[in-house]
Amino acid sequence: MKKISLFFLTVLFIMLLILYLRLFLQQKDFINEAKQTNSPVKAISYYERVILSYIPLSPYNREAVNGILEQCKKIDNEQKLYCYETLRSALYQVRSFYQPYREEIKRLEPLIAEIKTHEMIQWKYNNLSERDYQRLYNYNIEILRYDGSPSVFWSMVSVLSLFAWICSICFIIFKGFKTPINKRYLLWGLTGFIVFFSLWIIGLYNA
Amino acid sequence: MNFKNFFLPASFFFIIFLYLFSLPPILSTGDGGELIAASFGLGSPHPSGYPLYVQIGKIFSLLPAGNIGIRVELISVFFSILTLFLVYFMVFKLSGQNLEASFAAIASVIFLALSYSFFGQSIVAKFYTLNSFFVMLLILCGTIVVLNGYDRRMQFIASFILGLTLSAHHTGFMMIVPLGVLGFFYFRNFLRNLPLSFLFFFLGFSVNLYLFIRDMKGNLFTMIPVIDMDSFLKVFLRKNYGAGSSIDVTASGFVNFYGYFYAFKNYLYLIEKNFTLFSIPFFILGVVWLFKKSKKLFIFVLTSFFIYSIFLAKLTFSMQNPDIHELYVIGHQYFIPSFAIYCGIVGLGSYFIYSIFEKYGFYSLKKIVPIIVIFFPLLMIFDRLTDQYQGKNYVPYSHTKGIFTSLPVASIYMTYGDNHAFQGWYLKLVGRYREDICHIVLDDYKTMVWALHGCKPYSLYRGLFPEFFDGNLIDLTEKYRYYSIIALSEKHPLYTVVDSYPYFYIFIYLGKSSDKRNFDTFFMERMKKIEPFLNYEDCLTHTTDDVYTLQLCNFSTIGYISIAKAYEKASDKDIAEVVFDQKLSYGDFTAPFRMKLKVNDENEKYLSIYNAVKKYNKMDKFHLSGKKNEKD
Repeated sequence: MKKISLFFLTVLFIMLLILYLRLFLQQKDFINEAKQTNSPVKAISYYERVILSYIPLSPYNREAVNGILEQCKKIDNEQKLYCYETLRSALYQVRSFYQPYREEIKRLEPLIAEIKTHEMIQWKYNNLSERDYQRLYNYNIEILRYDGSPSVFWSMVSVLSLFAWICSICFIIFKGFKTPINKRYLLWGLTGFIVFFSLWIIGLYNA
Repeated sequence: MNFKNFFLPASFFFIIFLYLFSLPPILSTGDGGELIAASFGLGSPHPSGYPLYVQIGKIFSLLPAGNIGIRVELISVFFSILTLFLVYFMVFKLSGQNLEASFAAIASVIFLALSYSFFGQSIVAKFYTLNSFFVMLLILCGTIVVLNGYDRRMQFIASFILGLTLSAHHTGFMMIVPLGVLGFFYFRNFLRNLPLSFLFFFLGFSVNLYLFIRDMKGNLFTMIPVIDMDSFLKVFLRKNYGAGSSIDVTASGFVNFYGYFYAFKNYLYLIEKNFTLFSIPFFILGVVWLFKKSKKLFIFVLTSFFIYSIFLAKLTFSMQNPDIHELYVIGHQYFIPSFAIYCGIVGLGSYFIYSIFEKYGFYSLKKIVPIIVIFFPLLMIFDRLTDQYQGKNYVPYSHTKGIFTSLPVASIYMTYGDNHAFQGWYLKLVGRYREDICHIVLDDYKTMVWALHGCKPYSLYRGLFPEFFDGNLIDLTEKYRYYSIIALSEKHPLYTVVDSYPYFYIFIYLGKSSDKRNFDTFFMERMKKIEPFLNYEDCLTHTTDDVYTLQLCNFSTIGYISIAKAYEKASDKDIAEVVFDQKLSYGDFTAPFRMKLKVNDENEKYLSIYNAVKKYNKMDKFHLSGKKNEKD
């Protein structure tokens, strides 16, 4: 069992190392592309790809975030919406058990809601006026702040418990059902199964 | 360090490296967007719900590297590597367990890893490599029983894994047939331990409880909610697919036996495209080796192979002339387990040859040939880097993002078909991009029944779209806020009340009573405004022959004509018009698309882009295309 676990972990570890290498090379390429282009929209897109190739502690992450914010200053309202939305979306796409640059997202959301509300009012086919501003702004900001994603903690509890109860079953089979039956292992396996199975259910419900 | 200790880790390292550099950078086409969204949100994708895949996806989505999409894609690489390792292990165990055996096993691993479909499925967010892993694991259980004698633990673990397969991909469960056949050889012990086997089977099956528990509470993304036993059976047995439901498909294996002829023919075609016909003699030698090794093993392995090749082809792939869609959706995906078994047997065939060298005293050949043979399958790498490499394929992401960006604030965006819908879900639910857009997904081209996953919670969206939630769609069209990927044909219920006009990569719906002149002005202004968001580079650099990517790029050409149209000038009236006349397909339905364009200095470049994208994304690039498709 130890050997199998070690094999699984080694494969995963090698995969992560190679992935980091690929992501780092991507970040480097796209940062250069972003610096070379004259088009703000293209630069934003390249910086976005740097963020989407996120590696913890990479200096390119911050450079890309600042790069996008810099480009946002150069463009008009609809393109600005694209710019802010791109940055916010890219940051959300790289969240893991933590959210990188959370403070940037918090700063961007009122700006995005503001632009959207203005755009809705200025859309001449809508029949909206400045009197609708607050109402529409509230809807926009509430949608931006609404997060329907599952709890990271409970997700981890549930999925790790799932793996644990599957391992418990394997333990019961391979250790407990040897000939003759090993009652001690059976009991340990069964206890593990009950605990982890319960945690799995609780985790799924709470996530 | 001896040769074996060098070649084995080096081969696996090389394959992992190759796969990881070929992963689509954000998301893959087809089911990719949906599976990533469901994994991230601990939700339920399309039936049968794939609870095990989704939960593994959740844990991968939490890895601190890259974006959520690429992390979920890692599952395929991970299980692909494990499957390859099982293939290595099986070939090694079943041959001579010596240096030549190791080389034969490594060669078969590389052969499989670099084959078209296995490579393709190893780099996209899909469940086929997980399924192959389970199938190979079950074959390993059976092999151990044959080699080491009956062991009840193998029966229990196989039963447990069989239960687990029903929470991954249902075809994994077909291993019950070869395992049952094997059980027949040990029927006394087998029957004695059957009650406990059932228990372990149900424990494995209990992973499906996930569907009940997650849908009980409501989550970010659920395709069809499971709330009671009826809905569970509907999802689990894929009843909503009608004749494609699990039970109906299985039953089709036992009728129309003439279909086995086409199944065989089509499967042979896949073997030719993936491994070339030169592999068949090695396969036959491998079968002979198995027969010599053990009759039980011979029956067990060949039954497994038959079930995942010809029988599965009879169930799903026995059409007379499979079209490009069937080749892509079925031929390119379902047969991965059979390819793993095939390569294992091919590996045994090569070892058989090495043993003949030894028997007749060709010792130098026995030493040199196995090493040379390892390098032959490596030649396939050049093909894979030009047809399956997706490391630069940003198309599914940038195309969808381009559409979202082009829409005015608070618009409805309607999609139909997996490709557009799933990518939209990824962008909205995972990427949280343009949350002011309400993305609705049509279930059927001929109805207006839609799914509202892309505008939740409704209470908040109702405030932005009172017209939509009150059922006044015409009002929305008059406000130029109703967009869709669907060009309307007379088959569509909206056809009588609205017209569809090209708008960037998609279509805008306009009430029939609306003033067309106002729309023309709107169109000109709008196209010029969103022109900077036009992205054609990704459709010219994706380097893959992935059918859905090619389709997306071909679909996006509407955008180049639309922009070019906006740059027509009044002074162009004497210029002859270029007519773009084509049919757009939405599943079984087609809608006409016709646009006339006067080409001038200003808009000529968009026409060049149009031609370049069309040329780069010809559908006959697809490796599995038959001769008929190539002509089309």
